[in-house]
Amino acid sequence: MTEHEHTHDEHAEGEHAHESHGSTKLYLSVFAALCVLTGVSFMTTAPWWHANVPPMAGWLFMLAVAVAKAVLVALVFMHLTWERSWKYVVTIPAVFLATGLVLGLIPDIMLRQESYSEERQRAAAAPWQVENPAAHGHGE
Amino acid sequence: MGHHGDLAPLDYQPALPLSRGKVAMWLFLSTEVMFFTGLIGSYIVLRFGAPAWPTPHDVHLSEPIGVLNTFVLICSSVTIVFAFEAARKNQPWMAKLFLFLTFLLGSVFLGVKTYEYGQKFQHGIYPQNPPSMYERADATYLGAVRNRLNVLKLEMAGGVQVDEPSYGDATWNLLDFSARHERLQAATPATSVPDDDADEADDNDEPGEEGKGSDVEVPFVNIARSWGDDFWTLSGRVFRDLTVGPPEDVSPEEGQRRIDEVIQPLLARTEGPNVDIPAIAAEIRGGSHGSSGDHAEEKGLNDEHPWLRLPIVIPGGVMWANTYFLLTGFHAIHVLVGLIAFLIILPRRLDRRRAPVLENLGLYWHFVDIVWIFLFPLLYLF
Repeated sequence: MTEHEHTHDEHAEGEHAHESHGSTKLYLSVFAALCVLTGVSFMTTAPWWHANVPPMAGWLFMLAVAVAKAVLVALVFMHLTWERSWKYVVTIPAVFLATGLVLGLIPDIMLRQESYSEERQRAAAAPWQVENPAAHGHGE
Repeated sequence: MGHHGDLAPLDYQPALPLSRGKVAMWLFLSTEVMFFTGLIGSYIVLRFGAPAWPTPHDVHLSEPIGVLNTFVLICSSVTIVFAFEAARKNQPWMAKLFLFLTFLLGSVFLGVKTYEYGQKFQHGIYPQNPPSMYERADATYLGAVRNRLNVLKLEMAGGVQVDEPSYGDATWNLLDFSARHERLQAATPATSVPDDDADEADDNDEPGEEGKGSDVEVPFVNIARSWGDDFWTLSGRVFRDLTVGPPEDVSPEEGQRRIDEVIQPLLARTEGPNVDIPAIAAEIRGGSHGSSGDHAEEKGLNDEHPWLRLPIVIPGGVMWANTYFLLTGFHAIHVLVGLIAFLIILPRRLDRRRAPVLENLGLYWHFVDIVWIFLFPLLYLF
C-alpha cells in the first residue's frame, strides 16, 4: 500500500496514467461529460420540457444532474479517487449536514403556509396568473 | 528499520498520509461546505415554502447566460488541473500558461456576473432597499405608484422649493401625506423665510409644529425613495432647503410633456372609486411573462419610459432578490478570492517544488466550481 508515495523521480514526460493522478485523456473526457451534462440541464429550459415534464420530476432530474457533475469534479479533478479513506470523513458528514438541514427546516419554513390565518392568507403574494385574470388575458 | 539494541527503537508513524497543506485546505473546504450548505439549504426551504415565486422572465434572469457562466467555470477547472499536472511534470511555463488561462476564465465569469447584476439593477431589482417590488397589486401598491408619480410631477414641473426636511428613513404613505398636508396648511401661516434652525430638528419633531411655513403648496412626499436615481445615497439622507427640479438633461418643455402625456393620465387612472389595480400593475410590468421562451410584448411602462421607474408587482420578488443576491454574491466573493490567490502565485516559478501549492489552489477552485454547479440549477432552472 505504501508504494503509492508520490514517486516524482520517474520521468514525467509521458501521458501514462500515474498511480495517484489521472491522465490527460481522463481529464478531457470528464470535461466532455461535464459539458454534456450542462447541455442537458439547459435542455430543461426548453418549452417542450415545461409542457411534458411534471415540475417535481424536473427538479429531481436537475438535482441529479448537478450531483453527477459535482461528483465528477470531486472525484477526478480534486483527485479524491486516488486518495485514501480520509475522504469519507470529509464528504459523508457534509452529506448528512445537507440533507439533515433541509429536512429539519421543512416543517417550520416550507410548510408554514399550512398554519396561515385568514388575514395572513389575504396579504400573501399570489402567482401572477392566478391573481390577475385581467393580466392573464393581456399577452398570453 | 531500527538497529537492534537493548531498547526498542522509537518508530514514528506519519500522522496522515498527506501533506499538511492539503490537510489544511480540506479542513477549510469542509467549513466552506457547511457555509454554503446552510445558505443553499435555506434557499431551498424558502423557495418551496413561498406562496409565489417569480419566473426567470419576471426578474430578468437569463438562463443562457447562466449556462455560459457554468461552461466558463468548468473550463477554468480543467485548466487549473492541467496547470497542476504541468507543474508536477516540471514544466513551469506550461503551468504558468494554464494558471493564467484559469485566471482569465475566472475574470470572464465575474464580468458576466457584473453584467447580470446590472440587468437586475436597471429594472429596479435590488438586494434590499429601495422598495421597488411589491407582492400584490393592492392598495399599498397603488399608493406607492401614486407616490412615485407625484414625485415625478414635482421634479418635472421644476423649481419647487421644499423647506421641510425628509426625516431619514421615514416612509410616508398616502394617508399620512394627506393628513399632514392638511395640518400643515391649517396650522402654519405662510411665510417666505425658511427657518434655518433646522439643525436643531431631530427625528422626534413633528413637521409643521416648528412654526416653519412655505408659500408653495408642496405635497410631503418621500423624495429619497425612488430607485435607480442615485443608489448609494438613498435613505438616511436629510434634505434641507431642497430645490426639486428636473434632471439636467431634461428641458422644461420635455418635463411638461412628460407630465401631460404620461404622468397625469396615469395619475388620473389611479384616482376614483373603482381603480383596476391589477390592470395598472400588468401595464407597468409588460406583456406575456411566461418562461423565458416568449419575449413577445415585453415592453412595460418602465421599459417604454426609462425615467418612470414605477414600482413593480413581482409576487415573491423580494424573497427572490434576497436569496439570489446573497447566494451569487457570496459565490462571487469566493471567486474573487481565488483570483487574488492566482495573482499572488502567478509571478513565482511554478516548478515541481510548487506543485503542492497549485494542487491546493486547485482544490479551492474546484470547490468554488462545485458550488456554482449546484447554484446554477437551483437559481436559474427551478
